[in-house]
Amino acid sequence: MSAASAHPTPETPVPDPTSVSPPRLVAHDLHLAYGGRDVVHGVDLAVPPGRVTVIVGANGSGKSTLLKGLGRLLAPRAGRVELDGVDLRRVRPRELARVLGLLPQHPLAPEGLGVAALVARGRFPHRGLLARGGAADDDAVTRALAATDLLDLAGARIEELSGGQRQRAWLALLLAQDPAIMLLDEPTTFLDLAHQVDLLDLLATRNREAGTTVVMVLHDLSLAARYADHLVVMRAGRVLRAGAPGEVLDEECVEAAFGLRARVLPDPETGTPLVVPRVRQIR
Amino acid sequence: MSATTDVPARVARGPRTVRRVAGRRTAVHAALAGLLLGLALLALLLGELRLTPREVLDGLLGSRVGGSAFVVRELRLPRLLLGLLVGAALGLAGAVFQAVLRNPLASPDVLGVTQGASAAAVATLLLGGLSGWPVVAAAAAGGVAVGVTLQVLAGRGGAAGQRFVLCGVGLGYLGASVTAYLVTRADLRQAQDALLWTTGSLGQASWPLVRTLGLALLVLVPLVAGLAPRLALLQLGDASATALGARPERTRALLLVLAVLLAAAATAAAGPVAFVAFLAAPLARRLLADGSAALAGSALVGAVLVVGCDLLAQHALPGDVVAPVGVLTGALGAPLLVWLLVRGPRPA
Repeated sequence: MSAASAHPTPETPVPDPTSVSPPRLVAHDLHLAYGGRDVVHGVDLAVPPGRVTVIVGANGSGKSTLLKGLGRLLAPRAGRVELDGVDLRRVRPRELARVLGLLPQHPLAPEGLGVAALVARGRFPHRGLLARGGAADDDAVTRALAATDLLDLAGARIEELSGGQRQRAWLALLLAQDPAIMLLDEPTTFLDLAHQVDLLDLLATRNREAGTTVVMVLHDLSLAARYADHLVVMRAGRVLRAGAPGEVLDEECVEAAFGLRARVLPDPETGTPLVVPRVRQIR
Repeated sequence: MSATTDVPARVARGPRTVRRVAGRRTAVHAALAGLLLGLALLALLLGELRLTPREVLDGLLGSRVGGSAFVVRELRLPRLLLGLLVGAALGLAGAVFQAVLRNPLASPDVLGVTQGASAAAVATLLLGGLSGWPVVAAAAAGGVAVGVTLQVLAGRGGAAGQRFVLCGVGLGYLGASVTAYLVTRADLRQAQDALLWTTGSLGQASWPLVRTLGLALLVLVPLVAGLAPRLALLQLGDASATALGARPERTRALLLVLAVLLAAAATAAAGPVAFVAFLAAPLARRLLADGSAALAGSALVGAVLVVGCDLLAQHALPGDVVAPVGVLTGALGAPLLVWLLVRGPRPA
């Protein structure tokens, strides 16, 4: 089966995420390197389809690198990433972009670019070689703007937006691209807590309503545990532990991954693990 | 054909601001086209033999033979069309360079590509005794050679750096020196020819030249237009472009080769007309102000610049002096170059 055909067509909404089988993204013995420097050393990871996976780990643990590898921004030094059993390198880039989207950590917007124009660029993989977007394109863009509450700002320029609005605009581009799998590299960085929760709620809604598989890198462990179905803890370029947050995230795990002594309590809101650093003797 | 024509109509009918952005785009293009048309009419009317609109029309339609028809069809129209094509090619080449390299200083004339093309063209012409397509091919080879040299010398730090630009300026002087040497050595009798290859001029306009350049553009412009949506993705950074299904390295290389060919074709026809490639895109981007690469707008601005400057150089200089068009475009472009250098490059 080709990678693209596994993806539900964007016109047909998916009422029950379990009724179709979403594409499976799997890393096999994945080694990733920048130049000659190995960063990820042999990761095996099966991304649970239709679920939210969050990758956490200390700075330099290779979590962003792993995400780039999963999103074919970085070619494997060894091993491979497969989408429904097909090596990513063998899928045509536009076909792949219809199934697999990625929001990088530092995207660029040219000065003067409008919000709607930015979001419309997400439709590129769905267009023919020469054709402009049709009605389906317009609908996708309008829905993406509506979902991110940006309709009123559709004509504003990216540089005029606040940090939270700007991140929503980039998310709208990803929604317009409408991939079955969304990868996001630290989407909540530089956002205040309220905007972090807004953004994560948006992604959770998308996951629930459209069955979109979400894989993201987050820094905040408690938020990660709250939003993840599947938590991947990285240490020194390897997967330390992976599984349901409640099973994975304990005091031993936090200490091993971050070198931080912390208490892990049940989140009073959700019951998921809440990580509270222990007070250290300050010299 | 440019990057952000893709504001969807459905959204455009919604929020008023979007409609305004899309409307501005159309208005700017229409105004530029109108200005170009006005300048073109002037170019046909003015000259030693001042014609009436009626005579120009008759000349264009070929409904009359004789002096005025000859002036229109064989002298003024080829010169006008050559200026138009040269300006559009240079403007488009500059817009592509600046958008792909994300540097407002990176245009084929500042980076020495046109000077390299000019040197190769003049060598083919004077040493090889060739003309027509071989000259265009040589100019393309010269332009590509400068581009490759630049990449080898300064490409490692990225094209946004001052080093890249300064190396290009140096290579430009090298190309200009080679041209000057060849022109001096050949002891050209006609000052017009020398001016063409050192300054850029439309004085040698002829129908064969217009046809050659027109044919080159007929191939190159659609190819650039086909890559425009990918260029719009490149502007979002390599990571986003890849995630959206583009191949950044390949797209960049293709676009740069096409832009070098555009600049080289224009240079083979009219010499290194200074600063048109450099000026057109910033002007067009400022007029459009929509964050697009302003490809169509830059081509229009380029054509307006060359046709307009040629008009001024022929008819408006004090003391009845007639100068080649490159003198005027140079005088316009140099202050902007100085300003951009003082301000330092920002992403285009």
